Amino acid sequence: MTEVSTNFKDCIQDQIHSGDDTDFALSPELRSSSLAILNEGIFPTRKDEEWRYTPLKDILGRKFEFISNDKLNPDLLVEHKKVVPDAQHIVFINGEYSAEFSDDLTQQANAGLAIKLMTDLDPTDRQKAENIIQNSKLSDNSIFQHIALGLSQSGLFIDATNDTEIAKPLHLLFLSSTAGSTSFSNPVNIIHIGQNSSLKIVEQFVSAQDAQAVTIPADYIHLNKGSSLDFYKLGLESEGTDHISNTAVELSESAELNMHQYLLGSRLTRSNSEITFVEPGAQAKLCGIFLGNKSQHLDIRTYMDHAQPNCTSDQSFRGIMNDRSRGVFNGMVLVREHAQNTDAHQSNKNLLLSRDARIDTKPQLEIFADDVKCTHGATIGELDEDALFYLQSRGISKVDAALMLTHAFASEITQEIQIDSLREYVQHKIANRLRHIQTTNA
Amino acid sequence: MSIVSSCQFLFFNLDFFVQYALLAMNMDRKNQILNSENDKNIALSDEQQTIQNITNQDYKYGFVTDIEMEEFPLGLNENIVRMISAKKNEPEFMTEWRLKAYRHWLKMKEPKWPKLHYPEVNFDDLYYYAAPKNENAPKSLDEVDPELIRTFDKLGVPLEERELLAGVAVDAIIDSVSVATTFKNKLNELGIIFCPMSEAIQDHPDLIKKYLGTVVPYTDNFYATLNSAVFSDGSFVYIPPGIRCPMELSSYFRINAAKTGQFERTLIIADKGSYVSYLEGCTAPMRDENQLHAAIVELIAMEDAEIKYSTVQNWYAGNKEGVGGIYNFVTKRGLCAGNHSKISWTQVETGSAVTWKYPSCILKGDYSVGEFYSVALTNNFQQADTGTKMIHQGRNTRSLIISKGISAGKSNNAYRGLVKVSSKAENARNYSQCDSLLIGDQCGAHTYPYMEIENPSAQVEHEATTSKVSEDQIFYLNQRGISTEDAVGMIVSGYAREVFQQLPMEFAVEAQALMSLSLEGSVG
Repeated sequence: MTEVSTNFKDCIQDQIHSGDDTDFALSPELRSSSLAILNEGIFPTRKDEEWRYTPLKDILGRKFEFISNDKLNPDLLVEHKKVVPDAQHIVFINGEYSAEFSDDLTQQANAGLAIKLMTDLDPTDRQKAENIIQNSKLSDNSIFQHIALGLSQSGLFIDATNDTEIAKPLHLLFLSSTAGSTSFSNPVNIIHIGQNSSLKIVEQFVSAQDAQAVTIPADYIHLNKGSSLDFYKLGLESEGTDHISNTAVELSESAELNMHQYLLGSRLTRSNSEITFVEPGAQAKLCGIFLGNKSQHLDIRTYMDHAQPNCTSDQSFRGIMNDRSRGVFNGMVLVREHAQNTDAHQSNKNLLLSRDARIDTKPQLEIFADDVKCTHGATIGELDEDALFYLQSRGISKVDAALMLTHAFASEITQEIQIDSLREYVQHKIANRLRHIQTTNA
Repeated sequence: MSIVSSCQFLFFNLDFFVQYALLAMNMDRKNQILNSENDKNIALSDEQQTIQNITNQDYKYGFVTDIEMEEFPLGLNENIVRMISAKKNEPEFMTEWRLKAYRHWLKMKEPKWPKLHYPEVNFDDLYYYAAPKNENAPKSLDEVDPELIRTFDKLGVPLEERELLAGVAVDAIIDSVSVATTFKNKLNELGIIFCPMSEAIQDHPDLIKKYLGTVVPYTDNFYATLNSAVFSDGSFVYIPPGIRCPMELSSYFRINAAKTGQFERTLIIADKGSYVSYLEGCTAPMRDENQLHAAIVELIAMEDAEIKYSTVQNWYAGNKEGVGGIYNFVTKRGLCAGNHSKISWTQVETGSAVTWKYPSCILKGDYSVGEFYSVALTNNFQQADTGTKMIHQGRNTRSLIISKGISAGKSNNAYRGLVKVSSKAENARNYSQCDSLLIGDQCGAHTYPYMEIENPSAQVEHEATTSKVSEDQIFYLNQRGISTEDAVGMIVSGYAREVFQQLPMEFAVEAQALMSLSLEGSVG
């Protein structure tokens, strides 16, 4: 595809008019409404309550192109695959599925895990997959969701059958590889987990050094009765990457979701997760860390929709901001009428490590039922002087003491990671990042 | 005699809470009869019944005083603005200022972001000025229209008794024009200026020029701009340096004539090292049409000065079906201009169909302190979107936010608050606590805190909880022989106690004593 456009909006317009129906991940019927929104081309501004703290000026000034798999150093992938060595690895390069670097999609088919390309679905599967999208209504109905829905040419339909524990985690690697021109990727993944089944998924967004990219992925997830999903998202993209993602999860009766997000990379990240309890008695646990340095902008939005009674949700997010970075946490807990016996908790703690860093946090509660337990809390501050002094009085240098305390602050979240190699990797990454911060500050 | 009448005064202001409280008043006989009928038909639980009782209450203070009113033609244009200004004999600079505001207002749009739903206000279908037709201002209480005195009698605040009430000076305002001001002489001796805004514009134009619109500029927001163009009257207070105002200053607002938007404007300046406590309380008569109220309050505290501003708002909230009631769109903001200054807002919001109000503090001086204590109760179809803004600019500034929301009936009650620490505000400290209590399963309670922190030395904490009156608590009280409605009352007043304790003596002492007594005696 040729590059003629001068900015992001124009690039989007160009994409609308390119390609055959068969090129796209979703059916024309489903795409049509998204395309209508794309044609209007209205991007959120800071006057939109949900985008109040995240300016889009930079991203809208970018132009991009779809870049097919180019030559890639396989060693790079080997490194990334080590993060979860004992997993089924599926690799996307610049938004496109790479059969060359991925494990066989049918590797766990006998174990009950069907994985198909979105562009390659039979009508039954397509129906099943697209129903999941149609049922989820995102509260943040911004144009970015429709960039993924309307324009995506790749993605997976992951379908776990009933009554099975899928042993091997799925490791989805999204890699941007180009330097120079800006690559664009917008995969749409649909995940369906059958009754009483369980699955672990690790989504890892990475870049080759200096890659320039715009990543706008979307995940639509449906958990059936009694099923469970451990979902880890790692944002480790390059400084030249802007990342805006939407994740929608629906939980049926007694289903269980554990969702982790570790946002360490990119120039701008906006990660929106919307969880809906569509049947009673389910539970969701969301946690994460966003760690920014230089002039990174990291925005976590969560929307917990308690539409049914007897559900439990627990959210715990921590922000560590350094240099001129900005962190945003925008968390909503909505308890609808009749959603009695809801137990919803949310906490957001933030550390500001530098004079020019900034945190905007907005933990919100909207409650329409009376027999509920809902709390939220947010704190913002710097490292505790007393704790620093205590460690220094034990002969630990101030830099090391600060490092220890910050690391401890992060560990309370990372220690919940259930996959050992992943936990070590994330902790190692955070420690590295912090060490860098400390040396630049010292 | 004076004690009895002051009790009455408190009861009407704290209507809801007193209704809840054990020793307050007997339950409406009508409601009891109604409920005993209900009992026969449907077996309601005790708790539900109590909730029904509370949510079925009518507004007790709805009536219209029959005083001849002088009104301008309907609608708003530059002529009306000029007429208002001329009517008040205002100097040229005020007229110009009003017109500037009006012209700016024309360019503005009504804000849509609050979580409020109400039919659009037709600004061309409102009267922007109304005053009792009594041209000759009364010099003493004897000269006041007897009908007016009776109004106060009905409200339980006989003016002639007010002078006797523990040191409260009243700047009583009925429909935008001050009618009587008491205690003026005593305040004059100390150099304190406490007068209607219209008088201040005449007598103290320098102060007005210097301070009016400095905290809430005429461009601030849709309703503030409207107010700047058409404000009718309000109170003006100036406390000279080093003076501690010896009494609680009190102003008393009422909306009377139907369809009259009420545009009060209050300005309080506490000069270096001074202290003042100001109370504002209000009721409005029953009317079926929504009435618009867009007031502005500006506070300025200089070095070492302290201002304590308390509000009890019990305007007509509409009937049980949500018809009528006041729209209350208020801009209240205080500026801690000097070092070590302090501004404290306390509000008890029980009335109005729609409330949109965020009393704020700009903490500009080093070591300045902002406080916000709020109880907001919504019932039936009431909607409230209220909270505060604490804007930390100076070094070592502190702020505290205690907000207690109580939702009943089909109402919606939202806390919306901002804590902003700008990059130069070293060592800022904030603690916010926002609790919501739900009574019944038809209502909504919402919390929208915003925290914008640009300085690492800031320590900002926010906590919020949502709860209901638990069955265990009621059962506990029941088994101590306390009826369910009294139990609910106790729990609610206990829940809001932190805020009641902030109310000045004159407002709260009896009600507080009653509630605390009944609570502590029986729960302990």
